[in-house]
Amino acid sequence: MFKKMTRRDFLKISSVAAAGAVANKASAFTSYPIARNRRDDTIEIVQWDWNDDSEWEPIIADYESKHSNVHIKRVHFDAGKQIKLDTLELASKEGSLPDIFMTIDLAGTAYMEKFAYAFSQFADFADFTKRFPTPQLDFVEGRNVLGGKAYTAPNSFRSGWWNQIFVNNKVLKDAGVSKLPETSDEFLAACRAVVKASGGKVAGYTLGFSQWATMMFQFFSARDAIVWGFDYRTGKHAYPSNKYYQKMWEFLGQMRDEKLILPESASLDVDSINSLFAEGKAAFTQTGLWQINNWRRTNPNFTDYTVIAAPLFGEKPQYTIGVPPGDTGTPWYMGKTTKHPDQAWEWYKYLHSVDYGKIVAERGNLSIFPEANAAVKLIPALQDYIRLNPTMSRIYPSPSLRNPDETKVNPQGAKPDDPAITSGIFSGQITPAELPAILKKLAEDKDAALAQAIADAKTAGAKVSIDDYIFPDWNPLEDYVQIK
Amino acid sequence: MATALIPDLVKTTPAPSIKKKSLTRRIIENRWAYVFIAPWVVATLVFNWYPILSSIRYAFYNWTGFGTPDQFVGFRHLQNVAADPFFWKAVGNAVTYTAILVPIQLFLALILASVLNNKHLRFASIFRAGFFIPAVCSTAVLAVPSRYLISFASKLLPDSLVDAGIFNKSLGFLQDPRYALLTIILFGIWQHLGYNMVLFLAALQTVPEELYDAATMDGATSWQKFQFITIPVIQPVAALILLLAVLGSMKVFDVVLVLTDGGPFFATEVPQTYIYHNAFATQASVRPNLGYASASSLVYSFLLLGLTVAQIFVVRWNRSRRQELGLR
Repeated sequence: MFKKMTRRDFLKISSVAAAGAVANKASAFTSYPIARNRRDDTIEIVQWDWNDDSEWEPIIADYESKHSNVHIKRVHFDAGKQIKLDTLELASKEGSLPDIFMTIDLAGTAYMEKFAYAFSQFADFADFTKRFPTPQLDFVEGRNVLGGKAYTAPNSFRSGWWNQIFVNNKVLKDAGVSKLPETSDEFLAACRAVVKASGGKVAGYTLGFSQWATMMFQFFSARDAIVWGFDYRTGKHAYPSNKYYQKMWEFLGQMRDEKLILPESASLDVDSINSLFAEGKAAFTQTGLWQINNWRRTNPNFTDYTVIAAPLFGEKPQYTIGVPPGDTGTPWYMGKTTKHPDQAWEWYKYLHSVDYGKIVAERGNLSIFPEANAAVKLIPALQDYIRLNPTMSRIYPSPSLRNPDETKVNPQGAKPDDPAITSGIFSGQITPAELPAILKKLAEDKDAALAQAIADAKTAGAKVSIDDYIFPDWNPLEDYVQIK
Repeated sequence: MATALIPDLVKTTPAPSIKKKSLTRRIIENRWAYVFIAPWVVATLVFNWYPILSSIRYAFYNWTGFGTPDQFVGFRHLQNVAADPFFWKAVGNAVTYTAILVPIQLFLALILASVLNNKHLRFASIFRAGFFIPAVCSTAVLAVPSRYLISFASKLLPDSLVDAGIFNKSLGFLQDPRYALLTIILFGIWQHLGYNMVLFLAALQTVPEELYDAATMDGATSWQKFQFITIPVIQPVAALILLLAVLGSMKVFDVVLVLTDGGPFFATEVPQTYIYHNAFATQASVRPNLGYASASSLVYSFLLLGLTVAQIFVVRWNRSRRQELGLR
C-alpha cells in the first residue's frame, strides 16, 4: 500500500526531479562513456569538439590500440554553437576544463593563459615545432605564443578557406564555356552563356544572400580592394579612394538585372544553395573549403567541380584575403588544469602530426603539412586550391601583435556597413548613383569609430594610438612577417 | 431607505476588535507560503532582475562581453541609439508588424475559436491541435520548409506581374523590400494563430450556457448571441489577449532572424534583431559591443514600459469587469 506523501517527501521528490531536469537541460552535448573492458589503470583524456562522430571513431580506436592505457573520451558539442568563451569560463570556474578542446575564441588573447596549458614546457617542444613548414609563421608571439609560452599550434593549410569560387564544370561544359574566367568580364560572359544555353533554367551564380552578404563582399573585393576597407599603409579606410569598391557593387547590380543569379539565392539558406549548385542549378558559387566534405555526404555523385580565384576587376591583382599568422584552422588546446598532461600532450602531438594530417587530407580537407597533402591523392579542386592560394590569401599586418593593448580597442560598427550595402544594392534600395556618397560616409564613419575606440581605450588606461594600425611597408601580395 | 441605512450602520456598528499580529508572527504562521514562493523569488532575482540591472550598468560602458567592463562612456551609447535612424526604422518596423499582425491574427483566432467551440463540431480536438502545433514548434524548424515554400511561391507568380514591375523573381519575397516585412507578418500570423485561438477558446468556455439558452428562448439569432453575449463576456479576457499580442509582436525576434536577418538593407530590422546584431557582431572588422546593445535594449524597454503599464490597468479592469458580470 502506498504511504501518504508528506510535505518533506514532496520536496525531496521535487528537488530530485528539478535537479534531473537541470542536468538534462545543461547537457547540450553528447558524452561518450568509457568502454567497460578497459584496464584498471586506463587514463581518460577528455576531449571537447564539435566534429562529426563518424570522423573520430576510427581515429580514436586506432590511437587507443597503440596506447592501451589511454582512453579518449569525447564530448561532442553542437557544431552551430561550437565551444565559446562562456563555456570555457564556466568550466574553468567549476574546475572541469577538459584535457583537450577546440575553440576559435582564444588565439591572440589573454584567455589563452587562463584556459590553456602552455605545452612549450615539455622537453620535446623544440622537436615538435620542427614538424611545421614555416616556423617563423607557425609560432608567433601575440598569436599562439604569449610571453614565450606556446598554447596552440597550426593544424590546417594556411589560407583564407572561403575566398575561392567553386565552379560546376559540367554546367560550364554544357554551356560551351571552355576557359575558366579570370576577369570580371569573363565571369560575366560565362554566366551569360550558361543562362542562354539553358534557356534560363540554369543560373550563372548563386549564393544564400540572406546569410552570406558578407561573403559576397569578400568575393568581389578580395583581389582589387581590401576586405572591410582598412588600408594598413595609411591607417584609413579606402572606400572612396579605391574605385573598385564601386565597380564591385555595380557588378552585383548588373548580375541581378541580367537575371544571372539563381532566384532561390534570395530565399534559401546556404546549405540548400550548395545542394542546388551541386545539382547543376548554377555555374558558380562561393562557399568555404569545408563544403567539399559536406558535398560528400549530401551529393556524393557531385565530383566534377573545381575552384577559381575571385574575378579580377582591374588589370592585375592588388590584394588578397588577409589571414593571421600562428594558428590555422580551428585551433586545439590542452586544458589548463589537465590532470594528465603527459598523455594529453601525446594525443595533442598526434593531432598535429603528418599521420593525422593524411587522414585530414583524405577526407577532403588540407593539412598544415605539405607532405601529408602530397601523400594522398587530392581531388582536383584541392590541387587547384593549393596552386591558387598564394594569389588569394596572405598574412596581413596585425596591430595586436605589435601592441597587445590593441585588443582593448573596440570600434563600433558603421551603419550601413559593407554587408548592408551589398544587400541594399542587390535589393535595389541603393542605386549606383548613391554609392559614392555612401562609400564616403562609410569610410568617415569607420575612421571616426576607430578614433573614438582608441580614445576610449586610452581613457581606460590602454597605451594605444592610431600608429599601432599603420604599416607603411605593407605589401598586400606578400606575407607580412612581424618579428618582435 | 437602504442608501441612508448603510452609512448609519457604518457609523453605529463598532469596528471589530482585531489584535494586530507582529510581522514575525505572521511570517512564522505563513512560513510554508514563504518556503514555496522562495525559489521563484530567488529565480526572478537571479534570472530577471540581475540581468536587467547589469544591462543598465553595461549601457554606460564599452564591453565585448568578457572580462570586466572598464571603458566608461557615460551617456554616449544612449545618445547614439537615440540618434540612430536605423534604430528608429527598426522601431517603425516593429510597429508596422504589430499594427498589421495583431488585428488580423486576433480576428482570425476569435473566428476559429468560435467555430471550434461549437459542441456539434466533430473532430474539434484534432482541429485544435492542428492549429496549435505551429505555436509550439520552434521557429527555426518551421522556417526551413517555409523558406522552400516562399521560394516556390515566388516561382509560381505569372510573368505578367514581373513585366509590370510588381514582382522581381530575382529577389523573391524575402529580398524584395516591398514584400519582405509582409511575408514575415504572414508567417507570424500563421505561426501564433493557434496560441491566441486557444486563449479565446478558454475565454469562450467561461460564457455561462444559460445566457445562450435564455437568448434562444427570446428568439436571438446566432449573430445576436455572439454580439450581445459572447463579446461582452469575453471582452475583459480579449483585452488581455490583445495586450499580450501587442507586447509579443513588439518584441518579435526569432522569425525575423531566421527568415531575413533584418534584411534586405534593414527593411525587416526590428529592435530585437538590432540589439542582437550589436551584441553579437559577425563582422571580422568589428568587435561585439554589449554596452551599445544594452543601451539599445534600455531605450526600447522604456518605449515598451508604457505597454506594460497598460497591461497592469487592463488586468485590474479585467478583474473588476468579471466581478461586475458575476464571473469567477
